[in-house]
Amino acid sequence: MSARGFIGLAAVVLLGAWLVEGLLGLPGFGEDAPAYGLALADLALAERNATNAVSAVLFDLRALDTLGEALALFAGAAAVQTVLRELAGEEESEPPASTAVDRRPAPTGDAVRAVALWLVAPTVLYGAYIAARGHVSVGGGFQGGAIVAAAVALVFLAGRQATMHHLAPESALDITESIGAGGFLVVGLVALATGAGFLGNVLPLGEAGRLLSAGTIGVLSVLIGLEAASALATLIQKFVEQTVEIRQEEP
Amino acid sequence: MTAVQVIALLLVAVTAAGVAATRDTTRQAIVFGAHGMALTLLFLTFHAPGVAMAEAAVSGVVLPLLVLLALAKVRSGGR
Repeated sequence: MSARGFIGLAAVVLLGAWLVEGLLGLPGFGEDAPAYGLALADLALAERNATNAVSAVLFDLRALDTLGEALALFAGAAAVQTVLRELAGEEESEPPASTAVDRRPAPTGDAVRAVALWLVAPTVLYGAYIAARGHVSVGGGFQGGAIVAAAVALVFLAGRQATMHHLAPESALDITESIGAGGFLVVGLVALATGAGFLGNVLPLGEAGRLLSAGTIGVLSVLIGLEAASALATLIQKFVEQTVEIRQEEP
Repeated sequence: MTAVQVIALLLVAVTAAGVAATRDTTRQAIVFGAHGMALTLLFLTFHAPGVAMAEAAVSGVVLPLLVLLALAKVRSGGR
């Protein structure tokens, strides 16, 4: 056996043994509900009037981590915008003479187009609902934002690129994305100014289960929803633009 | 473990193997979407509905679309 083969085999055996040892040390399936998780579930309701413990962790107890996540998403969208910009020597393909909303005949079948278009409005509504009720029921800003962005993708899948750009213009997305990420920071700083500490929960907690309750958790959830939806929609727009609309100038 | 959870786990294993076994990248993007749906079912049956929602939207719609668009760009010779 070659030296490389031996080292490889030894590594596989050692790492495999380590993995098996780790797996054997895990608690059994469905046993031992972790004490930390149970404590959090109690705390979210007792201290914050939030009926969704996950959102209470994301947007209150560990809100600083979520801010980092939001800024990572923001930076990712900015990076894609930078890399996929229109370069020298490229131009947007000639729009047809007609100013009709749809630039080219859609290759999409009628059934797909009809279903996709029919789903757009309910999807946006559902995403907004999920983001706005993050502190009360299942969901939250990231989920709601991803669902809204999927609606933007649906418009494109229905063969209506021009409509997609019209509905969610990049200039507007830049603004809503900044409002989302910046608003998160502002909420944190306002809390700091009132003496509660950065991202402290300073708003009235209200009655558990109501839309207006749990203080800043719902507000931050909506802001994150705005940020996530804008960032993902920007990604989709940029990829569509690069693939379908930008052509290299003929030499 | 309930029967639904077992089925979800099996579906994830089967679709994951399907993604790895698909050689054509265009088809792979679609099979990956199916894998995402299996993961969604898995998260749902393991009491993580929030994660399931994000998984459905991202891996069901957004990610396959981005992969397909990138492939189209590459296949057109970068033009």
